[in-house]
Amino acid sequence: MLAMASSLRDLLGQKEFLAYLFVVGWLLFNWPLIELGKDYSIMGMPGILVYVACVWMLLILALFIFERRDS
Amino acid sequence: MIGSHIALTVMVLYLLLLFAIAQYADRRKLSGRSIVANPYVYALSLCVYVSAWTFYGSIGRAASTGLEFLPIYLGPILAMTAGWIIIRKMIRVSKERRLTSISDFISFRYGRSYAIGAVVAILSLIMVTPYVALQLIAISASLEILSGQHIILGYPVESKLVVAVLLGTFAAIFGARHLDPMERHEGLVAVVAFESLVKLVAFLFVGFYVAFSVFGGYGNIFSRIADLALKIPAYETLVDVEPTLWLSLTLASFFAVLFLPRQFHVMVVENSDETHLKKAMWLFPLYLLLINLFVPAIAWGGLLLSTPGLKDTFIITIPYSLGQDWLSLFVFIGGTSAATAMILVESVAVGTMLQNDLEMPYLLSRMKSGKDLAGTLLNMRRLNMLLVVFLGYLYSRAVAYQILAEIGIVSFIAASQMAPAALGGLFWKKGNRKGAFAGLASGFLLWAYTALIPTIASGHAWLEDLIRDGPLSLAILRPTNLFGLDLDIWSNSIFWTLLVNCSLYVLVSLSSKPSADESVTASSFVDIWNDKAAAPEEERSAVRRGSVEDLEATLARYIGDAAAKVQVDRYLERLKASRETASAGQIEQLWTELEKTLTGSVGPSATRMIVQDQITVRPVMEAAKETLPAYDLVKGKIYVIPAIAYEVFTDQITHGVEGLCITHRQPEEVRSSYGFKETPIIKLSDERGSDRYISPQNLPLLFMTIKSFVESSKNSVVLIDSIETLVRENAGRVPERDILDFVYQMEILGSRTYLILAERQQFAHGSRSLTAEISEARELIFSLGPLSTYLFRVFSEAMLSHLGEAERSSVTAQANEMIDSGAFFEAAAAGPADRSSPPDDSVAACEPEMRTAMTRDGSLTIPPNMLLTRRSFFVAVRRLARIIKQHNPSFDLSAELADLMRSYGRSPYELSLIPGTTYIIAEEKPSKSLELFSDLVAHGMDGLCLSRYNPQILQERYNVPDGTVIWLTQKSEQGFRTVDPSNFPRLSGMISDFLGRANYPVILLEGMGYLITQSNYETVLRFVQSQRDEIALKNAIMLVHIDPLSLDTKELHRLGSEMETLSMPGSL
Repeated sequence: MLAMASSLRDLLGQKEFLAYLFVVGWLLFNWPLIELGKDYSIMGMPGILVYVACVWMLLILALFIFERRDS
Repeated sequence: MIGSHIALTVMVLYLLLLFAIAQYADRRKLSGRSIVANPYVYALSLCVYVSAWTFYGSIGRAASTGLEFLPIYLGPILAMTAGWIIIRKMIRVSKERRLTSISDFISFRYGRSYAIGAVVAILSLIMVTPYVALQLIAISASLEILSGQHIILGYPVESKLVVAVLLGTFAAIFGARHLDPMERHEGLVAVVAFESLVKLVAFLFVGFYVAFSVFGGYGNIFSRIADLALKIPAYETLVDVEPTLWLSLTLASFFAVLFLPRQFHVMVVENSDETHLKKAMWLFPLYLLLINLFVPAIAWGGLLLSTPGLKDTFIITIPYSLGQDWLSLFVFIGGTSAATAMILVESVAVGTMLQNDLEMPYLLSRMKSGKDLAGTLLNMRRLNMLLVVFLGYLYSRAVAYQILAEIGIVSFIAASQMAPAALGGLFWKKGNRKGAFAGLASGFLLWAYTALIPTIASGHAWLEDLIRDGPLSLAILRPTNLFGLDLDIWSNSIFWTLLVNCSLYVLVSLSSKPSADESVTASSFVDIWNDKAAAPEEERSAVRRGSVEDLEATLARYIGDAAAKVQVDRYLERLKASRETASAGQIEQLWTELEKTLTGSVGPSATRMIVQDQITVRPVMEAAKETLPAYDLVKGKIYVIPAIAYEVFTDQITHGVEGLCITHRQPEEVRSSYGFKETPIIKLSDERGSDRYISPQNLPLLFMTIKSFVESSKNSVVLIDSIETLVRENAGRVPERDILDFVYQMEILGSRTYLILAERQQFAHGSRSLTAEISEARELIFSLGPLSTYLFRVFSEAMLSHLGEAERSSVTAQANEMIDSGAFFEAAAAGPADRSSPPDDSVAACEPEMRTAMTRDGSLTIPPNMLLTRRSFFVAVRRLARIIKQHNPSFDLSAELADLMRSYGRSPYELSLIPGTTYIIAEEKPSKSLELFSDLVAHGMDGLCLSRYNPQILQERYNVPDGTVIWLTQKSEQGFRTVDPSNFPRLSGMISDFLGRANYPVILLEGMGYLITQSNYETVLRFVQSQRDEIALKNAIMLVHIDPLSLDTKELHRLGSEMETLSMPGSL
């Protein structure tokens, strides 16, 4: 487990990971994936809004881990 | 309504608070305890992206079109994921080159192009005008809601005007208090960071209030909107997205966060530490998430409450209409924060661009030299900032009211036009000036056609007709639906502008060649992480350019006396030098720093003009004849032509070559004698007159004049008549080092032009005859007059300079004794050197007028009639080193002279290598041998490498030039020079050919072990012995690598006895 965590940290600290995040971010934030939440509502909130907010927070988390890994 | 002037008063007080914060931050910086140099403040400063648009425009957009306000914030998040790759590179490049705006950045990359800088500056001014107008409209609308119309001295005053005057004055006072060469404004950054906090808190306050106090929960708002959507179909779109528009806006905002002038300024220019970017990469998206948390709540809450007034102002009208006056006032301050920060930073950024890229180049070409410009520059900057706000005000009056968000999108699309040139410049070396200009100009024009015109068309009949019917009623060319793609207006504009911009940038770049300057800058941008490529000064000129006082005076003209003194003191401290003791090399480094500082203050285009002040000579061509030239010169060779130099020069310039004539003769006489009219002639004289004159003592200016001419010409020839006269006139008046530097730099420059020297044969004793009338000179210092003696004096002085007085006296006494007895310098022989016989240690007699009295206390007494060849020079240097070592055992010749050797284009290792000697280098792997060989070849020696390795590997790993390698292999490989390792006759033949044509040869034989395995030890030993003899005859140097573990002791000993052992340093 420790080894896995360590190699995950290594992965998240690399520049190539950022490039991957960049590409994935574009995909996640745009059509067709953006339409995933179109016909849903979660706790009364529009599904698209919840989806966008989740991807947004995921990217913040990944960038936060990148910064921590490297400092 | 809150009291009629209360909101305005609060606004003024708030601005005063901001001013106090800025003062405090600047004072802390001066005392060395900066409050700004930390990653949190940096991250908050990036939030200047959140302007009045977020406060008002986003809410208006959310209320009209639902979730389509979001893409404006998704682009920046994606930009942050690429931040460590893109933004960090921008920061590094800008810091290295002292680039202080996006226009500097782009213009510098493309050869410091004035045209490109001007286009970007103008585009930026036009781009920010609607954005500034948006801020003024938003704030004035809020002010009117809270306070009604303003009456000042009994007259109704437009709120927009009041806001514009207030913010413009604030910006002009605040943003132009001093001219910082690095354009860093800690006070400004502190204010922006503070305002980011204020606007976030204000937004969260009102968001909480609306979502939880008014509606009892976020979900409540959404469920009621959902109910409303069932009844009124128009509201269905609030929770839907249009994919094309979504993508277009995300793309536009991605580029905007990188290239909007204010974003570039805070993100790149104001950055104090690259590592701060890492924290900002997640903090900035987190901030955007928080500030957008309640946008739907406020927007849809306003719809549900049927709040009166514009949707854009819901954020203030909701609490105001519900009786929350103080909350409304707080929100107004939040909106003011958002707008003020944007206007402040934008006006500083655009004001800098206008000054550096439009005004300074114009001013410099018209102002008299010596005029103090510091005060003028500061006032110009203030006026520029006022202009930015004023144009915004005019725009806000000229156009009919639109949804605020649309105004912002127009600016975003404009910012996107810089992306191809900027990003291409960072990552693609082939991008050049022509491509960048084509892309920028076309993108800009198309943006104006597809985005700007539609937004200002309302109220102007002819523009409305254009939008509706297209130009000349061609519907296919309608600005809002170009070629009938049926996209929304923004996607239409983004698609066509970026398509045309990128296409022209790429295609024009590929079909045109960059200039030499551009190629060097391109490498320094693209390969910024590669240390070797990061320093584009390929000619590390050691030419002195005046004293430290001269440099300081030049700098002071542009940034003020006090700031110039501080900068120069800082540089001197770094170089561990003082104003009195700075050496020529240190002054040269100071000059480089000066250029960087000036770039930071006045931009790269203007700096280029300052550096080239008074020394530009434009290349012109004489009328070209249709015949072939009579003299077939080769570019890169230096020709010595005693009798017919002017005829040869005239022959070249009348056959399509652009010429420059440097002469001691009268220009009129030269023109009339040789018939050329247009070619510039510079007379070396202290006279003043209508023609061009340069003082023969002003060697730096002379060199810069010739250099700028050569660089600005595609095909040039330079005639110098004569270096002999220059040397004679300057003897005793100009330091010998200056003369040497000038001649050496001319030798380097000679590789880029046809260089003709009109010298007497006796003066050019080291030249090689090509024909009866024309000779070729290489290594000018060893070919012309007493320059080799000058060089020896410089070297000996450097070697003696670190000795104590007593040691120095002993050394010079011993050396002078050897000089007097003839044992110091190698024996003389008459006549100039002739390549047909092997060059030996000949020293020829000097003409009487070349004699110089050399006796000085503590200096060597060098004979006046002294000319040294390269070999005899190094022999003398080594002899002196041996004498010094007797008195100072710690003396290290290579270390003492390494910098001096490099400054004259020589490898320091050459000091250890005696021509005519074969050396053995014992190491397991040949890495040090190959590095040494590569270093020697890079510093001007002619190299031949016999190796068992593939030449491509040698090039990749050790930078061994491909053309110097003979691959020892039994295979025959196309594209490579190969030889069978057992074919010793052929090997010998190749070495002989090489020695026959090389000027200063060095041979590396790598792979002795391989040769031995392919034949036998005895054969190889005989081969090495025969080559050793030839090396001694031809005064070449041979390096033989062996792996000591591959031979037994006896074999090793036998080899060692044939050669000198060369012990390699720890690292090269």
